[in-house]
Amino acid sequence: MSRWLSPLVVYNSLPKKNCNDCGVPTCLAFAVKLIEGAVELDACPHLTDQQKNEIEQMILPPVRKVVFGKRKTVAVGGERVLHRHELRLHNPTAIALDLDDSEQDEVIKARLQSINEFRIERAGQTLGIDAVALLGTSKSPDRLRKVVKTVSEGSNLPIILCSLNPEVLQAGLEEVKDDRPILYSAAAETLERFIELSKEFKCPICLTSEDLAELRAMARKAMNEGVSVLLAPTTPVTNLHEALLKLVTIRRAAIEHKYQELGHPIIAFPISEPYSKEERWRDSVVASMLMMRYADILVTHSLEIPLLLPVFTLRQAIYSDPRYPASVKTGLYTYGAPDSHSPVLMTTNFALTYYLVSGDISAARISCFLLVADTQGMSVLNAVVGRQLTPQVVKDLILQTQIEEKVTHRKLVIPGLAARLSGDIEDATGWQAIVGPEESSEIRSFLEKTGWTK
Amino acid sequence: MTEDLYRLLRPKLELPSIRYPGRISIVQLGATSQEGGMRKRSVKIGGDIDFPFFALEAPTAVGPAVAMEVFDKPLGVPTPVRESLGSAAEDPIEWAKKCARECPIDAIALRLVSSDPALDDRSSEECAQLVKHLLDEVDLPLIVFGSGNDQKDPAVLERVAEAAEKERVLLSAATLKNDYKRIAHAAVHYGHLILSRTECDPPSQRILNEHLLELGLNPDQIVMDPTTAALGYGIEYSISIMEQLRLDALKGDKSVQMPIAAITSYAWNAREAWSEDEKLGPIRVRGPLWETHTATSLFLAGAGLFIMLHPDSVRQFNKVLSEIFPKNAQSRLDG
Repeated sequence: MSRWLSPLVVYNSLPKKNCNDCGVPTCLAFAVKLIEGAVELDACPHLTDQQKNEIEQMILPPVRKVVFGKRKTVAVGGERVLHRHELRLHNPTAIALDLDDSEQDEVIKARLQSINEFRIERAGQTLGIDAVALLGTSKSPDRLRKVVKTVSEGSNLPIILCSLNPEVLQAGLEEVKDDRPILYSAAAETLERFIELSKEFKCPICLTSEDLAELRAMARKAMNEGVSVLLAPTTPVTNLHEALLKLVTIRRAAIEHKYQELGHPIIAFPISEPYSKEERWRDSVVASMLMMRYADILVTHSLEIPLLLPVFTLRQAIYSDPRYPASVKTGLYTYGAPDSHSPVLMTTNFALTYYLVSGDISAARISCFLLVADTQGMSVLNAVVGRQLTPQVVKDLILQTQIEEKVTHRKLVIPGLAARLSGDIEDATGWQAIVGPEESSEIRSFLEKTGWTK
Repeated sequence: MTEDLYRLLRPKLELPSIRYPGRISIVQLGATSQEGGMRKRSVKIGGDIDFPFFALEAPTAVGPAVAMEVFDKPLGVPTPVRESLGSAAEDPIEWAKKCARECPIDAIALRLVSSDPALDDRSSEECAQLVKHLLDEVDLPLIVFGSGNDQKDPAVLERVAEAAEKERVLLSAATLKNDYKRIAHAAVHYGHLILSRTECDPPSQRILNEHLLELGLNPDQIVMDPTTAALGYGIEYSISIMEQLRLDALKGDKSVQMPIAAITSYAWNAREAWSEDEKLGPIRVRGPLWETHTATSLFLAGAGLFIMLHPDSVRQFNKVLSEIFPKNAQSRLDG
C-alpha cells in the first residue's frame, strides 16, 4: 500500500559527515526530517547543485506542493499519505470565500472587509480566512480588472481568480502581475492559453474536467510545460457522492498508484446553488467531508461562525501531528495579580485542557496561580489512567515552580477527574488536595463556593 | 445503489484494483417475527470491503445505520436536546415513540442512567421491565446501555438479555474493566449482540474482541466502540483509531473485522455545542451541527453505526446519507 520513501535511500545521497551544520545532529536524522518536510534541503551547506537536484526529485511528495499569493502566501498539497496516522498531513486545507464581481461596488467592499476581519480564536490559535476566490461572473474583462484592483488594494489575502475565459482572466491578472493568484480554471479547449498565462505571470493554474482520464492528460501537458497545477474534478459540489468518489480516486491514484499527473492539490466548491438559507448547514458539512477526503482548497460562501467553526475545528484536528499530542509548556502560569493567599490550581499540559482552563480562569477574572503538569500532552482523564499524572509528577511540579515560596497556604485545587489521586497527592507533597470541578467552566463558582475569591 | 447507477457515477479512470483479503462482518440489529423476535424490521450494518468511496468496484456494502438515544431519566441531557423533546423527556417510552415517529432512524438506544448505584440504583429487574415495555411499545431494533458502572452493568445487562430474548439487542457495553464474560454469556444464551468498548487503544480493542470470540460470540454479534471523541475534543484520535482498526481488518486481522459504532451524542460534551456564547453564534444552529460534523467525519473514517442525540443532527446526517446512498434515500428522509 501507501509506503513512503525510506530515510536510508535519502541518507545515501547525503554527505554522511554528521557535522550538525544543518542543526540536526546526524545525516540520517536529517534524512528523516527531510521526508517529513520538517527541514529544507538548503539547510545542508555541503551539497552540490547536482546532488540537491537528485535529492529533491527523490523527496518530492506524491502530491506536489503549490504556493500562491504574495503579501500573504498559502501552501497547499505536499502530502504523502492517505491516513494521518501513517505519517501526518502537512499543509492544512486553505479556506477561501467567494466574491462575485457582478455585485455592486459597495457590496463587494463590505464583503471583502468582513472576509478580512473574520477571526476565530480556538485552542490558542487565531484562525482567519486564507484566500479570496474572485468569481468573474460578469464575464467582462473591464469589470474583473476593476474588482481585482479593489480586492488587491483592500486585502493582503491571496486571490483565486475565477473565469473560464482566459481573456477575462488576463485583464484581471494585469492588475496583480506579481501576486501569484491561482487561475481557475482551464478546460481542455482553453488549456494552451492558460499555460501561456501561467508562464507569463508565473502563477499556478487549476484544471477542470468531469472526466478524470481527460484531467490526467491535461495535467501531463501542463507539467511538461513546467507549470504548477491544481485539480478541480467537480464544481460546484451538487452531487456529493460523485465529488467524494472523485477526490478519493484522485488522491489514491497519486499516493497508492504513483500517477504523477494526479499528484496535485485539489480545489472544491462546497457552495449550494442557488444559495438557500434553509439548507445552509449543508455547505458546512460538505466542506468538512471534502476536507476529510483530500480537498486542499475549499471555496465556500457563508461567513457565519456557527457554520465555519466546525470546519476550522476539524482542520485543526486532522492536521495535528499524530505522533505528538498537542501540548503547552509545563510550569507556573499566573492570572491577574495573585498574592500569597491566592488559590493554586493544577491541570495538565494537553493543549486543549490548558486552553479551556486558562480561558475560563481569564473569563472569570480570578487572580490565581495555575500549575501545569507535564503529562506528555495527555488530558486529565487519560493521564490519570495512563499514569502520566502521578503524585510524584505533582511533587516535582511543586518543587520546580517554587510555588511554596509564593503562597503561604498549602492548598492545591486538583482537577475533578483526578479525584482518585487526591490522597496520594497529599501523602507525596504534604499539601492539602482539594478536588475541584470536572468541568473547567465551573472553576469560578467552585472558588466562590469555597470562599476563596474575594 | 444499483450496480448500473454506480458504474455510471464512477470516475472513468482505470486504476489498478486494490482488493483486500479482509472484509467487515455483517451485523444484524433486531429480529423480525420470522426471525424469532417482534421487530417490525431489522437493520444490517457492516460488510465493508474498504473505506467509503475507496472501493471502485462496489459501494459500501449495506450503508450505515442511525440510532437515537433515549434516557430512562433525563439527567445530563443537553438543554437544546431537552427543549426539542418537551414533556416526552420525562418518559422514556414517550421519548422513544417521538423519535420513532419524527425521525428516520433504524434503532433506539436506551440508556439505563438510573441503574447507576450513585444515582437511583434502579434494580436489574426494574430495568428489564422497562426494556420489555419499550420492546412492546416501539417496534424498532434496540440498543441498551447500562449506566457505565463496571460493577452494576453486567448484572443489569444480563437481566435485560433474558427479558429481551431473541430480539437481537445490542448490549452495551463489554469492557476490559467489567465482567464482560457475564455479558458475553448472556448474549450467547439469549441471542443478542455486544458492543465491545475500549478507551482509545487499538491493542486493547483487539484483546477484548478476541476474548469475546473465545466466549462463543460470532463476528456477526460484535460491534466495536473504540471511543468517540467529540469534534474539537480529540476527534482526531477517534478518526485515526477507526482508520487504523479498519485498515488492520481489511488486511486480514480477524480480531477487528467488525463494524464500528460512533456515539456522536458525545459531541454535546464540546463546549462549542452547548455554551451560550454569543460570539459563537446561535446555539440552535451551532449545537446540532456540531454533532452532525462529528458523525460525518467518523462515517468517512469507517464507522457504520451512529448513536445520536439531537433530532436536527439526525435529520442532517440522514440528508447527507440520502445523497450518498440514493437507494435508501426515501426511507431516510421519510422515516
